[in-house]
Amino acid sequence: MSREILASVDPDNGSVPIALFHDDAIYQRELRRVFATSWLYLGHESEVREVGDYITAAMGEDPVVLVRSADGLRAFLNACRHRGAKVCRAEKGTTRALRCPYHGWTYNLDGELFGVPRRHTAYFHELALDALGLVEVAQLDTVHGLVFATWDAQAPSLREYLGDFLVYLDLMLARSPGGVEVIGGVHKWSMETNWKIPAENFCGDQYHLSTTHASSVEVGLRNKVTEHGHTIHVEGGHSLVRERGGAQAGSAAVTEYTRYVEEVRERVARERGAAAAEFVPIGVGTIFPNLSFMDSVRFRTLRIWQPRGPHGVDVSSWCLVDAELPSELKQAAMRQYILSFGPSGMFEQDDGEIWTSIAEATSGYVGRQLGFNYAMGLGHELPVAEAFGIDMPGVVGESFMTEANHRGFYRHYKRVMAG
Amino acid sequence: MNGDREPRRFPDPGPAVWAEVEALYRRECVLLQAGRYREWVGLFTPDISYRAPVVRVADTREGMVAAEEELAYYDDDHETLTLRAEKMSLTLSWTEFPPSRVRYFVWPLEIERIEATEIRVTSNFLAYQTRLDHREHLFFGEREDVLRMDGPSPLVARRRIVLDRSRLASENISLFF
Ligand code: FES
Ligand SMILES: [Fe+2]
Repeated sequence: MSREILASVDPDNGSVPIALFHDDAIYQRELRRVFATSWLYLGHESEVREVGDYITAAMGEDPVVLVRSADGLRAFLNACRHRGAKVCRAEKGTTRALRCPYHGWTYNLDGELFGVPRRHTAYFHELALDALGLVEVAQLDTVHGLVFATWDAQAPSLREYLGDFLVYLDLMLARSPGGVEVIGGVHKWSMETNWKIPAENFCGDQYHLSTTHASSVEVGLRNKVTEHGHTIHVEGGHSLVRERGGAQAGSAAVTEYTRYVEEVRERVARERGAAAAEFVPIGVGTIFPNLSFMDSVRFRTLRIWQPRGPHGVDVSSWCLVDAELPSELKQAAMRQYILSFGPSGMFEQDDGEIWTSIAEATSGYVGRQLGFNYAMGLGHELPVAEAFGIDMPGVVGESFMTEANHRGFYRHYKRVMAG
Repeated sequence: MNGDREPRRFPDPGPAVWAEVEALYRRECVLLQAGRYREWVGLFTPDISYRAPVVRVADTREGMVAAEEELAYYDDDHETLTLRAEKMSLTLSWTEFPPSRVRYFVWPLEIERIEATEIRVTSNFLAYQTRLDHREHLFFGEREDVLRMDGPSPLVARRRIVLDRSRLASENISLFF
């Protein structure tokens, strides 16, 4: 059954079966093929600055803890090797060791089991502690402080995985000398929809802005969407959409942060040329499978869409700023982020409303037999370098409004799911 | 906030003030339940600070509620609160179109006089929201207001809302608290 569903994933003809968003077998296969093999985002280095700092996160449905040990960052399945109790229960903290609350097995920051109560009297000294360390991810690496990990020892390196997208990530994350940091904590909420719905939206769904976000446009929080920008995807299912002038430009509630972004754009233009400056701020995008971002003229956010069954998503969303910014500008960016995004954001609240209705509207028998339509701009795609005469990787839609990025996402998804 | 509410430290302002505060909160419930957001913004002073900090799972009570300079669900001044109210009043605001049915319960109250013209009101609240055919959300929390008493009727000058839930169970927040 899931084989038939996968066979009808046909982005090159603009169609993806709706069953892909509902089927249990497909979902289980996603956990194995997509989430246990891809590089997944865990958090930002600025959240775990000192030795002993930890945050809890998830990779697919598996809870993990990211901790800084004396040797660097490590990530473990957040489950005790004895009977599986959660070892770290707070969402962040600082600790010298990871002590299980059930029977007290204790692991050091490198995940090694070193403390077992009644090791002599109950275990007769026969328990092999070295074999019972916390289960560690297969690979962990960072790019601009963003921490990624994968369960797949055979996976290519993080840099290979990001591939051509690194150029664009550099533009988003390395445009200011001090790099970026996460401020203020995490927004966490749950939605009843399939994780691919928000992930593909952030790939580059400019098309929904005028209707989904009509009310926020009407009050001036952003200008009417135009036909001008670049909708770009690269191999590997990663993509972004850049609007001319920068996303979220509008007349209402403008702050100094917007001026700061303009200054950065001018500096990048001087240092790296006008073509690169077009990508300040870089816009909206998704790194396969479930890390999305929005870098706008008002704020910058990162978010992950954690799968929770075929009809559930746990969202975690952060505000990301240039580390060197004065605190007033960081605060301005955070307040703008809250105003527009996160569960109460004037934009994101409407996204959540629509996305949950998709799950509801298509889960019936008849609904599941159909396909979603991804035909926009089919056959109207060309290399970025050719379209703009600049030396940048990827493929761009001939017109700004296109589902080329969605198709790139599902093309890669199909490859991964087939393997 | 969030459970470790201080016992009263300032004097009880007396029954006339209690009556005024209860009248204000009754009116606020009526306006919010009816979706009369533009009128609702009229209950706040021009220098309002309206915040709803996020709550995190932390090992200590002190770490649970995000600090003033950290993340919130709402962090609004009069300008942005008006913008939100305006947006929610438009028919193309999908979170309230079709409109939700909402009930607010604000109780019990603790009222203290902190300045000659300012009082502090601390309360628990429950907001029940149901929308479309069967969607339901419950928002429990605590609220701390500073009310300014020098006008014809009290106005809210500062509001802190702490929702008890850490990971919100709803696809969005389209309610004000
Ligand atoms: S489950 Fe952790 S010590 Fe028993
Ligand atoms: Fe949207």
